[in-house]
Amino acid sequence: MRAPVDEWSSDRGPQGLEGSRGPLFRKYVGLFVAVVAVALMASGLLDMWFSYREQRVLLLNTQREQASAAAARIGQFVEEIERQMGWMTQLPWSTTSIDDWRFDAVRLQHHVPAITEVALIDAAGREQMLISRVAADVIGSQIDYSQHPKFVEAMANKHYYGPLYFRRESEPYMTIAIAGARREYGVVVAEVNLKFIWDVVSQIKVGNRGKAYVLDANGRLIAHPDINPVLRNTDLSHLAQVKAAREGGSAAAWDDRVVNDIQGERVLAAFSPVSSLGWLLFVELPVVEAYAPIYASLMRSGVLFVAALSLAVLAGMFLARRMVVPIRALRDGAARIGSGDLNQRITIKTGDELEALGNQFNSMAAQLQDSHATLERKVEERTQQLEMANLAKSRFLAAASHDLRQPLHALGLFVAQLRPDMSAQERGRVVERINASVAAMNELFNALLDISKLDAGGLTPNVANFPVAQLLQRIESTFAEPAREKGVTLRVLPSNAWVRSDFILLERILFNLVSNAVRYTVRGGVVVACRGRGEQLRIEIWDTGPGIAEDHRQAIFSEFYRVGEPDQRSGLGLGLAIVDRLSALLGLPIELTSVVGKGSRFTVVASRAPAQVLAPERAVAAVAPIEVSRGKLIVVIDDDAPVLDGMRGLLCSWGCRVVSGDTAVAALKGLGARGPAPDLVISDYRLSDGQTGIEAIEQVRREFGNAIPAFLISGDTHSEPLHQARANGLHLLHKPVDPMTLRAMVNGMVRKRAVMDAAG
Amino acid sequence: MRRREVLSLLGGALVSWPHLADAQYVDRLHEIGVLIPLAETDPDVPPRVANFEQGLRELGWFKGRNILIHYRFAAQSDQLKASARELAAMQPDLIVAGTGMAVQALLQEATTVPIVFVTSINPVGTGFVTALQRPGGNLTGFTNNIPSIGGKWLELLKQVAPNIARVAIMFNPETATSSPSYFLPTLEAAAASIAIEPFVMPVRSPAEIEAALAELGRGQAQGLVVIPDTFVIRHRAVVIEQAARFKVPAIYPVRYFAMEGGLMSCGADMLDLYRRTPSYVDRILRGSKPADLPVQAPSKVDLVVNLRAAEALGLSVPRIVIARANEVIE
Repeated sequence: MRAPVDEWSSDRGPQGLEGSRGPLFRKYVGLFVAVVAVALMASGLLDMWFSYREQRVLLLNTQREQASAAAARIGQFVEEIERQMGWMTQLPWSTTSIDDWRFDAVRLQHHVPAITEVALIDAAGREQMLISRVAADVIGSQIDYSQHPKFVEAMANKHYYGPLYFRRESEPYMTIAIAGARREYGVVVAEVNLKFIWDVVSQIKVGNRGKAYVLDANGRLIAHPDINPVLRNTDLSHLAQVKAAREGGSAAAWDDRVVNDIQGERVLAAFSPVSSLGWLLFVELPVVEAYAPIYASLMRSGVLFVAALSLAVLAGMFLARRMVVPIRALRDGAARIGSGDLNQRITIKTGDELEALGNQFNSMAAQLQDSHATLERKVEERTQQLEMANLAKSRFLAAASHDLRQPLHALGLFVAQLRPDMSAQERGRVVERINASVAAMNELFNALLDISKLDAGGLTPNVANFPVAQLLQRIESTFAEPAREKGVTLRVLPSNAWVRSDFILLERILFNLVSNAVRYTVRGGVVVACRGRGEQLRIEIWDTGPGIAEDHRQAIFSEFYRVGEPDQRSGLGLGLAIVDRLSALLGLPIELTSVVGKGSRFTVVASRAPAQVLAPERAVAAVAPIEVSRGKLIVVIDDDAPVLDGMRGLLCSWGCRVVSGDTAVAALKGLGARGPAPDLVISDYRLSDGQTGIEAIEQVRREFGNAIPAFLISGDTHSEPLHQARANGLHLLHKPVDPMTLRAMVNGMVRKRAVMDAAG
Repeated sequence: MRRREVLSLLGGALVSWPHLADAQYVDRLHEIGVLIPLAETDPDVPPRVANFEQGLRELGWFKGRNILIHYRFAAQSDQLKASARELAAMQPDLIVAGTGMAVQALLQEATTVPIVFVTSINPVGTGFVTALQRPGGNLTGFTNNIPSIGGKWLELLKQVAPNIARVAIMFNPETATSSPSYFLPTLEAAAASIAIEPFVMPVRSPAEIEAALAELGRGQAQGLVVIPDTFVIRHRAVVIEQAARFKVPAIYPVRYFAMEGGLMSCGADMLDLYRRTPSYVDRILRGSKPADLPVQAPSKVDLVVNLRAAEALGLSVPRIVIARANEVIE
């Protein structure tokens, strides 16, 4: 069960990065603002550049038009004057028609208000008449102007334009002289008031501070809104725009450079020529004014830029925060999960990949929690199992010690019965009973040892093909007598089948099963039969015992489980447990059929092996097995004095000669001076000075030659001594050793030696 | 919240950003004063006013829309003084003065308001300006006088009344302070070539005018030249009447003399000056300084011939004179 989920999505970060101002946040904001700033600036600058250019072009075009229009007006003005003057040059001067001439002059003055005076100069260059608007007329003055430019040039070029001069200090005038169609017509000279031109120029509106002005062909000011430069006869031919205009470029081709005006202020200039006079009219606008709209736009853009940048900062902060907060939640959540707090869950509700990531984290944490829980559960299970196993072991020990006590108790009782004054018969009987007790205890210990070996996995089956008849025969020979004693019939049906398995272990299984069958059957009998079925050889053990109830069937295979009345038992309930383990080890399933009250049938399912010809039995030396050990020299090494004593006594009772020692050295010393090599070495596995039995045997063998047979006896039930023994090619018997077994081993070893000696 | 404050600040700055537009001075309503030393009922006032306003319109100034005009008319000198004070107290952008007398009256108020005089006989002589091409002060305007015109006067008189041998030059020495010195030299210079003898005839009262004219009439072959003089102008009716009565051919400097019965008038076109004054008004209102605006001379000379008066005098006006005339009254 999970602990309550802990939601964690605040932006109160852990120490190190405060609030929403971490590096990631700043990066995002910075990036965003930079992008916006660059975009705005680029757009603004481009915009301004283009509008600047457009503005300039626009202004210049306007100025050019103004200049053209004004120049046209001035040109027309002068042309009209000339045209009107032309009327007076139609006839040669004659004194006969002064009145007519006067009339013409007056009419001319009417038509051309700008003409203040008009004079007639005859072909010889003498002034004949001067008609004035503002002064008395002068008739026939005969002033000689024959050398004056106004006469000379007019005669030469048909017209003459005099320089600008001032009357009454402020009135601009110029002299215009027109010659007649024929030389004899003379020259008409008019004094023209140029105020009109001045008015035209003054009235040209060029923005607010722009102005127009007129220069004559020499670059001198003729008209200007400010009369003073005109009065001073200012020469402007040094100005760039004047130079360009005088060089004769067309007004349209003049590029829009910024130039300086009279006062040196920077202006946009346009110009237009004034027809035949060779004058130039300039229109200038100060650059500051021209570009004022652009500067205004620049200001606006600047303000807009700042405003937009601020907005961008705010927007960037907002967006970055939205981005950074979930990331931070992820980081902190991951840190928490990483530090082991699996109850944390990350809550991100942004509806995008970050939320998915958060969910992934959560599912990961949940899985971790699950696996933790599973692990814990498994650990618990294991612990439980261990506990149960411990419990079982304790029960086992308790039961074992309990079951051991019985024969031990009996043994004590029987031994206590021994008295020196007992009859041989009585003694025999008691000894028999003692033996029975010892046998029972041996049996128990053997069974314990077997279980232990099986549990430790120290047994490896030695699989071979062999005829099942050998097993059957051994069963018969072993259990015939006990069955007869019990009053139960035992029938072992013969079989020619061969079986593939481990002989000894299969024998063990069958022995246990038969032993159980015999033990639990009170009347009737036990039948052992083999039935082949395809690949299988089914070895069946029938009994007419009490049967085993359904619910007991599994339990009987566990240790110490015993069915039946307590007084009917004998021996531990380990038999079936051993059978169970062996069957698992060999892979031989065991089936059980039973009917309560009728009997049971245990079936061992083994693999059939192809029948083979029996190898001839090895010739065995015709030596009485019992007697083979008589007179042999046996070395016994054991650090336990009572055991040593007992061994010596037993061996001597069999007619052997014994040399004993608690160490190999002692034993060798005992052997020492005597020449003959021992026939057998029996050593305890664990000796007192840290030496193993194997080493002791080696020592003895070294002393006398390798071929001395030997075997080990060990009180350890560990698999280690067994392994060691096997590794060195030595048999190992476990304490307590049944005397019969001991005798059989001794006899076997000696016999083997004898056979080898005989063979070799 | 900090954010909101910043935003509102920016928004406000944006909205209230001062226009970087050009200073549109014509958006502002301008005020000018006009002081004319004539009675409001004087018949010559309406055409002057009309011409003045026409000239303003041509330059983009519309009465009531972007310019306010305060007219003051004063026939008497004390009235003139009072009006001058009144106008000066208003502190308009400039004051237009009809004649030199109006200028004098304004100058006595010690005002710093720029003054544009429509006519002035001798602006340099009377101290209005330091020089014609560079006034240098707070006054500028137009002169209506051409010194050389005296010759024309004599020429015209001679052409109309060929048998004139002597010509009287009438003025009031007390009012015409600068005129005599202005005109007399050229008159005298021209007189020689035209065979006329000029002599001075000062008058100080209408009675004297009458007496002078009676005397002129008694002597044969005598003509009259009236030089610009406010006193005479004010009493022009007397002059015209007596001249007609005593059959004195006369030539006057201003057109209304001829309009009202005088024989001829030849002088600067006053109405034209009234039409040209707005050009200076315009320039000063747009920022030019009066000191930089030169005093302009009249460009149009106005000759008015009254044929009826000629007929009454028994004179026939030659063709050339009629041809010259701008206006002929029949």
